[in-house]
Amino acid sequence: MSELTQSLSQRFPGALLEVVESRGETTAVVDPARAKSLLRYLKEERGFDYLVDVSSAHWPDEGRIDVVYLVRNLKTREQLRVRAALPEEEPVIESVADVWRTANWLEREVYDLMGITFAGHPDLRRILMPEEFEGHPLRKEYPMEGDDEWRNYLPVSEAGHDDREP
Amino acid sequence: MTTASRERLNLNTELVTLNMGPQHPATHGVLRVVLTLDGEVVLAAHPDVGYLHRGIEKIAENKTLHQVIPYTDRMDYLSPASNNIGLCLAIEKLVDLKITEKCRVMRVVACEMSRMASHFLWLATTALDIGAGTVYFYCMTEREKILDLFERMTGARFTVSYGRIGGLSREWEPGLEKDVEAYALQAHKTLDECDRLLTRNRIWIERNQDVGPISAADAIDLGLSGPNLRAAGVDWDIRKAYPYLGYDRYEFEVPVGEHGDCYDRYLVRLEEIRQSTAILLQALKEYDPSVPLFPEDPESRKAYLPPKSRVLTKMEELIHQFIVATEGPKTQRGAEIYFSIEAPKGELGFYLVGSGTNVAHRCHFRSPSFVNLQGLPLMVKGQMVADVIATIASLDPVLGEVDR
Amino acid sequence: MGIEPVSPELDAQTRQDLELVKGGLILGSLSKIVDMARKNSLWPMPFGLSCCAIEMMAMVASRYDLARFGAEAMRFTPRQCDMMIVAGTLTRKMAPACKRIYDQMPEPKWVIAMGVCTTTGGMFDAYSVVMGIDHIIPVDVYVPGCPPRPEALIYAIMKIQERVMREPWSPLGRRPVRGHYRGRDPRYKALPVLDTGEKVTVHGAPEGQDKPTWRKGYYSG
Repeated sequence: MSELTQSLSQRFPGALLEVVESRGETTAVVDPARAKSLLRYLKEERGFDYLVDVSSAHWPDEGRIDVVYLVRNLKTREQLRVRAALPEEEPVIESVADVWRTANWLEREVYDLMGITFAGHPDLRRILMPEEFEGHPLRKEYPMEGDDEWRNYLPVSEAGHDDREP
Repeated sequence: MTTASRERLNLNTELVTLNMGPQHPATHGVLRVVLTLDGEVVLAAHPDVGYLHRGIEKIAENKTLHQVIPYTDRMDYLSPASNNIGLCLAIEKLVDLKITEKCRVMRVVACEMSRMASHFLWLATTALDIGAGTVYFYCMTEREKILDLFERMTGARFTVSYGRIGGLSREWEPGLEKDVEAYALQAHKTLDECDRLLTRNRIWIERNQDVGPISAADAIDLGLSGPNLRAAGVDWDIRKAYPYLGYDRYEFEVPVGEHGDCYDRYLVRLEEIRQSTAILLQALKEYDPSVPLFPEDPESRKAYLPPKSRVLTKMEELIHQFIVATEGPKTQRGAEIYFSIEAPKGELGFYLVGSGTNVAHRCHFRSPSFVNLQGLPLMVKGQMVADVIATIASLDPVLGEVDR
Repeated sequence: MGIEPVSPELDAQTRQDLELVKGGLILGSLSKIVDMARKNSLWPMPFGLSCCAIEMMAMVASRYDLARFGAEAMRFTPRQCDMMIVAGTLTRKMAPACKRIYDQMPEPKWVIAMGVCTTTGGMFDAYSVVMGIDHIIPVDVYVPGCPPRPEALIYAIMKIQERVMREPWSPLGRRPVRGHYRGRDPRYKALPVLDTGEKVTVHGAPEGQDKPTWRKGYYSG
């Protein structure tokens, strides 16, 4: 695995900010602007043809939102985690949906729940929450029980539904 | 009729947008699929999920690690034991705990039994969707036998919450391993019956063969996993690729299909049930009831739950149990792990990020059904509406897992 | 019908009635007869959402056979059903569909709230879950359990049968709502429906304030 990270740092000088190896896993912390080209290199030239997961983590006290890609090479069974830190106020990163089609829904989910905008995504809209929902629930400042997002909704009785007399 | 003939006859037809779901008998839960139809032929299908989004990942950020275990039950609710055990394995990887040999064997047995239960239910509902109602009753009866065993093993039929960090919730009663073995030896009878009823059945073949096909390259690109990926021809099973729970010492085969259509998925899952019985029989030979479930050496004892028989009678164990169960292990801030198991639906992955306290900072579940369902639009393009039903059924999505 | 009297020490009236029954007659009020027919042929509308739906399916299977109660005809169209079993967690995205299906059911209709998620929201105290379906539809029987055993659900159906037997039958009159319906509380009416693009203030929010102040304690109750 160190051979892989070495070739990555040679191929993309300056993009690989840190390599963390713990518990048998390798995490490459990369610069978000070059993440997509790095991931594309991983797929096309190193054979990491399987995107396992796109995830995110919000660290409010450090003011960043991480977006985490986990890629896997099915033939050599290597796994690599690529992490990019985005600023909390406006997290934007390029979408990898054209590299792996798996990323389509995974990125939509990250956009929906965490608010990261994926530039170039073919269909970036909410997937788990309703379309008209406002807010990104998985952020740390969003309360677990829910916020006043229901202001966007009409009352059921107004929509002409049967409202029985008690 | 073709477009050309339609134009010749001056039939001005339009495309129809048909909304299937979210409440629908055949969508395996609350899945909504918006179909664009040209007559009966599907041109495009857009699945709309989120009707069961319960915010489990958000809830898991507010609960201690032990308290997240019951939530995993409700995600893939057809095989709850394997979800729990997967989460426990992931947490044990994060906090560096080891399990005993006995615990390992018990976990393998629970995982394989839940795989069988899930596949039986899959077969029951798929057959019901396609129209073979008899198979539904046969498979549900078979599944009831597994649930009876689960009830004796864990206390609950269904949402078991069996795993605990470092072990399991309780020991087996004496004699249970013989009953599990007896069950494994006779499970093939129902399988053979359903095989006889369906596999060479003309109607079943017509409804399932060449329906919802997907190529291996597409399957890898779309991130399918589990029987869906294997039916497309890719030999990938987490139990063989990244063995966990000692699966590398059991002899079992991984069935791999060819065409990636519904029929192959059916055959793959049927064979998987047989292989699960083989694993069960091998694992049960290694079960030794006389050794304790949790490690008893003095240094590591404090990190695990004490044996239940002493908790109710001895003070020290009571306090120890209280502390471990309510507080649980502490995670290291910034430590992140990804651990995946071969759930019956596919690759169920747990991405945990530690926060320095006993509450995980981020707990993300990579659910196989969510990613598998992405393959639906590609699979049903050009098929008929009834084939959409067959394809959804054979993909085996569990909406609790899709929406979390 | 050929029923033999079980014990000879019956009073004269009962013996007379039983003689009538032996001849093939049933005596009873019209409402009792109709209710008896109704209760033994309740057609459930399985609104299966999540895990409880699996136990509902197990109830229909051959071990906990629901066909004994005449209720195995699970018609998935609400227009033909008289009992709705809501099984599983109701989320806000799904709530309009639930209400719509309930409205489509013809009278008389009964609702079973199966499982704790439908009763009170269950273990999911989250931003997207409706904490109990009785916020939007009236419920007749609540079945606790996560999930309740199939036998518990059968017991719930038997309880519905008891309610059916107590029902006054009137061909013209509107059946009164007897289910517990928290939605009758005027303070809580805002629920998600189809988006029409305009935003309205929440019903029941105190005047002059932006946020409805009665959020937390009431909602998670």
